[in-house]
Amino acid sequence: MKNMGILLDDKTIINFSFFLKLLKRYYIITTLSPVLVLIIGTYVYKTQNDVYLVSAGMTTKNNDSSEKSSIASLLGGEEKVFSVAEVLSIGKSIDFQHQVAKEIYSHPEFERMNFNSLNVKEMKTHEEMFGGCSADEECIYGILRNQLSGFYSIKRSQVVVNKYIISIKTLDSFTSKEVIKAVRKEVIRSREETLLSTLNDQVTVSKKLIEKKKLELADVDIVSLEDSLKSKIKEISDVDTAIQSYQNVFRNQKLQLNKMKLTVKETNKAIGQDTNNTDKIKFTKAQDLKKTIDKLREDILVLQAAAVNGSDQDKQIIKQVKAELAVKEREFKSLGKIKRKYSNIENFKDVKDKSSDYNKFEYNVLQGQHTETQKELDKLSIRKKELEAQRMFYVNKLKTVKPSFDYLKILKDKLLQLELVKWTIANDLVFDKLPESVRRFKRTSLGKIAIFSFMISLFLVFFGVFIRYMFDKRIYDEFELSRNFKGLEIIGNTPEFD
Amino acid sequence: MGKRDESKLNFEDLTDYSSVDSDEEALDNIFELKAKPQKIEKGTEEDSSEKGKTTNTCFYKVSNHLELFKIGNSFLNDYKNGYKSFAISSTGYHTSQQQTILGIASFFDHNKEPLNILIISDNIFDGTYKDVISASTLNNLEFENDALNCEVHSFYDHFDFLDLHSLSNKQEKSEFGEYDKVLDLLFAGYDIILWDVPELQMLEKTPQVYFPVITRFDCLSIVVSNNISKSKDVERICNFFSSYGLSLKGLLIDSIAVGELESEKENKATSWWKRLFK
Repeated sequence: MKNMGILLDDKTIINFSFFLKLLKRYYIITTLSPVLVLIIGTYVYKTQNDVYLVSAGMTTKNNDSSEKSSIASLLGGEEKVFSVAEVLSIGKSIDFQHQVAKEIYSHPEFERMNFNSLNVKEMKTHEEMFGGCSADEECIYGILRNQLSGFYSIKRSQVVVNKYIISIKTLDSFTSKEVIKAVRKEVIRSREETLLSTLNDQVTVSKKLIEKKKLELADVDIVSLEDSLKSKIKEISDVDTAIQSYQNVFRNQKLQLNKMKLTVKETNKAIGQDTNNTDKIKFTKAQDLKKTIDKLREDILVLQAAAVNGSDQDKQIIKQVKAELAVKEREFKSLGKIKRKYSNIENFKDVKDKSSDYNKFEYNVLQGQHTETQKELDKLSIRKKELEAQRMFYVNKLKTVKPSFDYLKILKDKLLQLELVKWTIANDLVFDKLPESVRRFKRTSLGKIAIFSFMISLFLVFFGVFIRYMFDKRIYDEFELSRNFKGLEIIGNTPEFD
Repeated sequence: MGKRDESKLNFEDLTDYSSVDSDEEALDNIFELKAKPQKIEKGTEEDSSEKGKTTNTCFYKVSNHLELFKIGNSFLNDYKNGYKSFAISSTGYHTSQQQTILGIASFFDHNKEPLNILIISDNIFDGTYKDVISASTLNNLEFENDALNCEVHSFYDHFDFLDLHSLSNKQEKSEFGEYDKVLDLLFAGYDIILWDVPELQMLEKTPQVYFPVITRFDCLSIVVSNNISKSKDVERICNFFSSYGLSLKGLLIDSIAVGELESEKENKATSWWKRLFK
């Protein structure tokens, strides 16, 4: 083996210039390998069968309704949303393939279709493919299932959300078109069946839950509970009203009672009040003076009336009377308040004395009423408390049973909704219109083959050159000689004689 | 230039000059000579040895002078370092080997300092040396013991050729130790000895003959032919001589023309499909 270090370079890792030298040295390998690969590539390309592709778009409607989610969560299950994994796995189930096979087999032009695999070298006729089944339909379906799985693919669209592309590839244009129709039909049917099955499951679950809840709530009469509660509330309201009015009366009575009490007290006080002798004497004197003053004023008036053409004596008399009047008035003035006070007190005492018994009577009556009112109020309070307790009982009772009843109600609504949906089931898959034209191409494109051939030929050239070099013991130039015999000096070239 | 120091050597001119004309014609076809080959007596006008004007025609026949100078200098440096016995081998292409030896001998002969140069080869009458030998004079190299005398072919004053077979015959016929004496005398009489090493097979076949010779080599150079020689052959030669403790001087790369000629011959011998994957 040769020194492999010669193939490596410090800077470029691989010594490309040396490799180029090797390529020129082993030009046969360098030229033969690509030619060979080209020939093989051309042969492979030419011998490929034409593939006919039909694609159809399919959009899923995945509505994420919160109402549906909440209802679904109540039922304890999940809403059946068409997930990506489910879409991509359409057609992989044996049942689906079987149905498609049946659909295709029942096609009037079944004999015209080509079910050979895409990479088959020699085409088989229908006889060769299905002849072994001897008209056994299940056998034929089995063969068709195997073949169809290789024709069919589904991919997610990179451009549109929730969109998928179903592609059918066969070796015949007519077959591709018919297969995609059958697949499309079966996908729709399969999806509807799935949805219906899901709905049926939900209906069953709903019914079970409803029955269960009904059993739980069989002993509970919510209507009567509610009525009872209402009546209690009304009673409490009435009692409140009564209490209110009694309280008003009680307050009024209280006020009156207080007033009466004061009245009695003050009356007694007034009656028991003694007047002052001095004030009495003064009052008497004041009364006398009043009388005198009144008399004098009358006299003055008379005298003045009589002394119209009066003499000086009459005038002198009037003057004396006026002077006396003035004296009396001055004297009276000095006794003024005492007089009124003495007079009022006496009068007041007389009045109060007269009304004292009445006041006492009134007070007693009022007090009795007040006591009665108090008793009534107490009774009403007790009653109210009882009614409150009863009300709370009904309230608590309703609290415990109300959610269950609400749940039951929702379940019933849901069941109704599900029954309606069952009869109006809508597919969440929407297919695009099938294309008219079919795309024809080779299974492996020319470009791919060219690239692959190029890579292979590169590899073969380098590998072939490398192997050839490794096993080529000859020495070709000074560079190789120096690398292979590092310990030996290259003295130079031998002399050439002319 | 080219003058030999004949003080170390005793020559008896054994050349038959009767066929000078024919030799001259043969030489004219190959070499450009400035003087007719004739017996040269010392002291005559023709004796240019005293004047030092002898021309080494072989040197000037070399087309790649620069390469010859390069390799010659390498050998010259070794000579200056004390080496005198230079062995040249090859991977089987004897012609280039002989040409190399001839070229190196010409270089040494072209040196300012006069040197006695001996070329020992097992094939002096064929190949590259043939024409030079035919223009050479046959001399008897005399030693003290007549039995040790050797016949050498002297190419004027340039270099001498000794047939290795005659040497090996001496080895067979001579007594124990006498063979070594011959070699010692040769080494003493010449400044430079260039050995045209036979093929490895020969060496391995008769080691008793060549062993004494191999031990006299100071260094070995191997001629390698581009596109023809194989690494394993070179390795074989290296390993063979390394086992004798011989130092390997280096490698000489054969010229393309010779290599092509050889390859053409080889191509004719091999099948077309083998040539395809060559």
